[in-house]
Amino acid sequence: MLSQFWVDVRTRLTALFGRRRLYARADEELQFHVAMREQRLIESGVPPGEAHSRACRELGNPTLLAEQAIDSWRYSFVDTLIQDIRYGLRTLHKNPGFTATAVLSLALGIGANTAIFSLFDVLLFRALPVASPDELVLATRRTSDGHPNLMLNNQQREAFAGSETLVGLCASRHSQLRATMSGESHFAEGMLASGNCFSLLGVSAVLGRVITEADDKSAEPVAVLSHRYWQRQFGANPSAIGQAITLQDRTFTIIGVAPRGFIGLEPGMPADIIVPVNSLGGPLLTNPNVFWLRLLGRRKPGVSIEQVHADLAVRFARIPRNSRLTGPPPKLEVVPAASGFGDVRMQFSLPLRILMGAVALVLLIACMNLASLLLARANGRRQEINLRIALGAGRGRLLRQLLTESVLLSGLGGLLGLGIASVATPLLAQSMSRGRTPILLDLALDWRTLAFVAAVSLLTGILFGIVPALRAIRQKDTIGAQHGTRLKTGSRRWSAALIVSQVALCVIVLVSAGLLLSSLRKLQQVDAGFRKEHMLMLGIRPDNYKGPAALRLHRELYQRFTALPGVESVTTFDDVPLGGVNVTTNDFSINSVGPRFFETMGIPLLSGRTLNEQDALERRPVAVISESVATRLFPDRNPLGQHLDVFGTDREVVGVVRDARYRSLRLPAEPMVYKPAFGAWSYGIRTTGDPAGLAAAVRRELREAARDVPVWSLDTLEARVDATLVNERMVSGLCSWFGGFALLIASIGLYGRLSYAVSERTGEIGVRMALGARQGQIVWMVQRDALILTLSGIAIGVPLTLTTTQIFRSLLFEVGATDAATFAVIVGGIVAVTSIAGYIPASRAAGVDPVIALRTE
Amino acid sequence: MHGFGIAEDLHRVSDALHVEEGSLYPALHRLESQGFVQSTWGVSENNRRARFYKLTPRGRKQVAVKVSDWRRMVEAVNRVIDPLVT
Repeated sequence: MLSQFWVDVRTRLTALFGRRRLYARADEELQFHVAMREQRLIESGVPPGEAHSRACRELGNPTLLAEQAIDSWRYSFVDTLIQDIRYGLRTLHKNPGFTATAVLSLALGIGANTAIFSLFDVLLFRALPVASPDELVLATRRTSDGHPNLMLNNQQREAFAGSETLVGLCASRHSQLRATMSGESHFAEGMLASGNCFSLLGVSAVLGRVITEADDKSAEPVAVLSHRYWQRQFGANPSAIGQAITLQDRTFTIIGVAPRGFIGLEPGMPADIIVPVNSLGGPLLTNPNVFWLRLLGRRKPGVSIEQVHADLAVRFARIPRNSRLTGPPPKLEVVPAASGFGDVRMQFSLPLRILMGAVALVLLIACMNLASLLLARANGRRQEINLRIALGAGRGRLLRQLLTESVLLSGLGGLLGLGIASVATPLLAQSMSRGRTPILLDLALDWRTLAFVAAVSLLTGILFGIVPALRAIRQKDTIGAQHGTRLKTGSRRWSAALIVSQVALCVIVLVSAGLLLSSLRKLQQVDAGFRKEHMLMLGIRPDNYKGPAALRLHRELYQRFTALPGVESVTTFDDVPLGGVNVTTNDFSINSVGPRFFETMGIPLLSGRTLNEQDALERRPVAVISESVATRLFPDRNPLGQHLDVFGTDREVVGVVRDARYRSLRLPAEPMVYKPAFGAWSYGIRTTGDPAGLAAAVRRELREAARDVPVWSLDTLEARVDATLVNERMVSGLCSWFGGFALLIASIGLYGRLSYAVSERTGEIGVRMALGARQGQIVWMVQRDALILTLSGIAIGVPLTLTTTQIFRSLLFEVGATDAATFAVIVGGIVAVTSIAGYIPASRAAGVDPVIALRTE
Repeated sequence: MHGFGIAEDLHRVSDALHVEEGSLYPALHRLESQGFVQSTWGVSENNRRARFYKLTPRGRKQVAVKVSDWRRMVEAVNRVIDPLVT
């Protein structure tokens, strides 16, 4: 019976898509028939020549017969569907205003969703292009203060290696590598990988070979290139295999090219050059106190992630801990790693979730708008529909036709949305990439995104088309309807509910945007303690220069930069404000700075003196401290002349400067001790004009001074400060756009409803005016409607918002999630905009000429 | 049984039902699309590829229904015309 069913489905599908095959079947049957008949005729004595033609004659027209045979197979609904689509397109074409509003608002809604979804997909969902990615797990630590840390080290790697629950465990680390080929250097995205990485992942080379475990022990360092790096640097030339490439200071032999899709394990952080961990790991390999490796394992079949965790946790606890460390021990965690892991994902996870929520709300608003437009139109089409019912159209058939129309609208919206998304997604990815390391994502449309758009469009069309369609065909008072087109109370309630919900959702999106915007403004107003304007920052990593050569290079660069026209002063430092700190003790952080640091950075001196060139050259045991260090260490004394211990060196305090923020604008200023030094490879260049304009000159000077030292980073301090706010800026900016868009759609919906109400009440308005109602009263009558709907929406929206904004509290800064001022401004704004939307129909109502109105009645 | 066999059988049983032979095929296809018969490729008695048709259980039931319908119809018509001819 079931097999019969499948045969049936198959044949029907064949009929739908494989007309030719079915035709061939019928044709063969008919030919067989003719042949058999011919044979029988010959057997009964008919001459062969005549037998054939008689057989054919008796059969009839074979083409016609085959056609008829095929026709009995067709699904009739396909034909109906085509008919419905044609009819739908015609009606949509006849109402360009309606169609444009519906399609455009849906397109923006779907486009925004698609754009955010593709980023979401790339960063958080998409499985790595490796064998059975579902089996991959990542071992991570949660430090004693509760922060997740993805990094472990060789000690754990060895401890976990023998686990019975894992097929294998590989170690990797993303790292920027200075690559030198024929004398030219550049920084490439690199990955250090243990020798078993490729075999464990099931990734093989498209050219040459991959790194194997033998390479871990080999003294000959080897490198595998990513497909795109091979294309870019070697023009996809197979002769790249066997060539030498210098990474950092070692010479590597290129042995293979990875498959096109494989660019490492961290979404957003591609790996272009993959080398064995041992080749560049250096002293880190044996240091148990530095955590720098990511450990990725593959579960044995049938082993659950909990079992892996149980086993590894025991092994982790057995590792002897560094006795100097206090506090509770870190906890081991094991997480699924099918789609990779990494910092980029951690950074953007929350913002993308928020944005996903915001765009979902926007789409919901657009859908409600579609529903209310359809509802209004259903009323307008009542006569047509009644006529069709009267002529015998089945209600099911009508429902299908109306749904076809709404799906057609949402489908068009989806197509246009896909276009919008294909423009918006790269722009979005770019805005995420502010900062030193570009975030590189493979944003090509994949089937997931397409499936997402298709599903969203279809669901939108059906879900939000069904109620208006049902209402349109459930009109029993066919005769009463002939007279006018008054909205029935049911429809009226529906459309009011739709508008109230739209306003409520607008409140959520707009208040969120408002809160995020005002906290962004607060963050931008934070006094970081330095002057960020007119500063160009250059970072280099010349680890191939050592000792006197390094000092010579340093002094040459210093002189060259100082001599550039438009440069006010130049300095060097270890830590740049808002760039994090490298060296920290319990009481303070330490920044090694060159001469003129405070003058150049614009950090004011409070007392004593700053550090000069002599301090650095003679390595004087002096220090300048920030005011928070002064109050902490010398609360009751003049800090000048006091001594403090900096890593075993006794230093005399010669100056006190204002505090500056080194970690983040959100965190309080770092207590900082400045010691004089030469040779920190970060340069700060204060310019008189636009600092970005000087970048080319700085680059040129560096090339002239040292051709083998590539630029590690070169940007303005303002850009760096901005980069620390990339999350806040992205989320608040997009939320504002989405909010504005949502409000626009909701206003259009409100406007539509009111215009309709006015046109329907023209007679009534005429009577009122004839009886002496003033224009102001008429305007108020219409505006009151708008106000009631808006205020109801706000009344529902505000409590909803109070709960939603809690989700992104961590992104807010000095603004409460319930900030009254923001709520007030947004609510006022919404009332103002909806009043404008209401004013147009209201003034039209007031312009009604009672005589004309009454005459038409 | 293949289409030609069916046609031949029809011939043998009754000359009165001599319709255009070809129209048998659209009818067979229609019956199959409604699930009353099932067809597969097979080899005919003279070793040619032919489409063989078989009644499905549903088809058998339908035959019973249609036959009893027909009988009732004939009976009804007979009841009407019998008085006329006698």
